[in-house]
This record gives sequence, structure tokens and C-alpha cells, in this order.
Amino acid sequence: MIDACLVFADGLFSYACTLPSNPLAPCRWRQGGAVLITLAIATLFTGLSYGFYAFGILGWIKYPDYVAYEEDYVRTPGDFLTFDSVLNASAAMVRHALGEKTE
Amino acid sequence: MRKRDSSTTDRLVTDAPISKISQVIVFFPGLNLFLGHLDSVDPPSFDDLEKIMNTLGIVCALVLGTVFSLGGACGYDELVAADDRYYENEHFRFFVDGFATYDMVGKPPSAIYIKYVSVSTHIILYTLFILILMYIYLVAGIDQGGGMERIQVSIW
Repeated sequence: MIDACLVFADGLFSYACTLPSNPLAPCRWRQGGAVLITLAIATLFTGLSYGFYAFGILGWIKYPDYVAYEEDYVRTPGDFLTFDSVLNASAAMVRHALGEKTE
Repeated sequence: MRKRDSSTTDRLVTDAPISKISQVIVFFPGLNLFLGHLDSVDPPSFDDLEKIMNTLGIVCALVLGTVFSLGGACGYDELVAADDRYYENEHFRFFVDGFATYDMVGKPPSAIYIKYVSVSTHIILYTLFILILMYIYLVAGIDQGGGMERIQVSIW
């Protein structure tokens, strides 16, 4: 899915690059500038979300003894596409700092 | 007691130079964050755009620095240990699979971690490329204070 998104973004990017027909004015706002800045904001937030996930997994890898993945904590797989995972990882780092394990 | 002046708010809501669709969107939080810049009938000035791009560039640099550091945050032994735990602990396996996107379900944590770090780096670098392109076209390409500025602004 992410590959498809990148291809789509690449298409938009190429479209925006072909817009400047007049060397005096790079592109019109509605046709070029707004497209580019929307694309920049969208890709930035997408990258942020993936970095957010990576940070969550880092907590599981670095501090496995401090992450609560016990049976009562696991509900449904969809629950972990939320802030829970990162909060869990952050809590693991705090527990690690305090020397408190989950067992 | 000082009387509350609501004229500014009224003007922002009713007389803002935005399209009819945006007059509805403006009431939805989240969507209206960038509305003033993205859907204005009057395009923003090049100075405003430069400020937006500066802000986005700084955020990109900060996030990119953080994401790059994630790659070296854990070593080989830690990744292997996490993978072993994935295959041995049923709860942990369910936990990781629930977190993964559909194409990464069933993959060990090291694969998911490396995938997310690389994708995040890729996408944020992409944002930087877009910003550089915008800088070339909308900042460096603008003849500020020169003879062509009036023509450029009229076309813009």
C-alpha cells in the first residue's frame, strides 16, 4: 500500500513539475503551489506516522522485560494501530529507568 | 468591563476569501488547519510561502534526525533476541502481528522495525525534495524587488 501511495505521490509530483510554463512565474498557486505544499504536508505526516510505529517497536526490542504484552492486555489486533503501542513502549522506557520489571 | 469584540471572528467566518466548499470545511477541526493557505481565493504572498516552507523544513530536519537515529538505536543481538521471542511467545506474536500492516503480518519484529524505519526515512526525504523544489520555484525563482516582480505576482 505504501508503494502505491508513493507512486501516486510521484505522479502528482511529476504533474506539478510540468506545470511551470512561464519562466517568469513558476506556476500558478491553484495549479502548482497548493499541490506541492499539500503534498509536502501529506508526506511529512505519513513519514511521521511510520516513524511513530518504528518507535513503538523499538520499545519492544530494546526493553522486552518492561513491555506489558500479557494476555489481559491483548484485546484485538486492531487495538494496536492506536497510540497504545507507543504509550506502552514509553512506559517500558520509564520502567526501565526506574528498574521496575513487569514480571 | 471590557466589551468583547467579535467583529474579527465574524469577519473570519463570513467574509473570508475562501470558496463555498471551504466555508463548510472551516468548521471541521483538523481539515481547517491549513485551509487559509491552501484554499484561499487570494493566493498567499511569496513571503508567506517562504515562512511556511521554513517551518516545514525545520520540522522535516528534526524528524529526519530522529528517524535516522532509530536505525542505530538497537544492535544485531537485540534484534535477534526480539525475533526469538516472537517465535517462542504466543502473546508477543499476537501483539506484533496486530501492530503490523497487512503485508508485514507474520514477519518478526526486526523485519517490521527495519521496514518502518526505512519507509519513514524514504518518505521524509521525499518531503525534503518537494520543499527544495518549492524553494527553487517559489523563492529563488522570484525576482523580489526587481523589474519582473510585478509581472510574476500578476501571473501568480
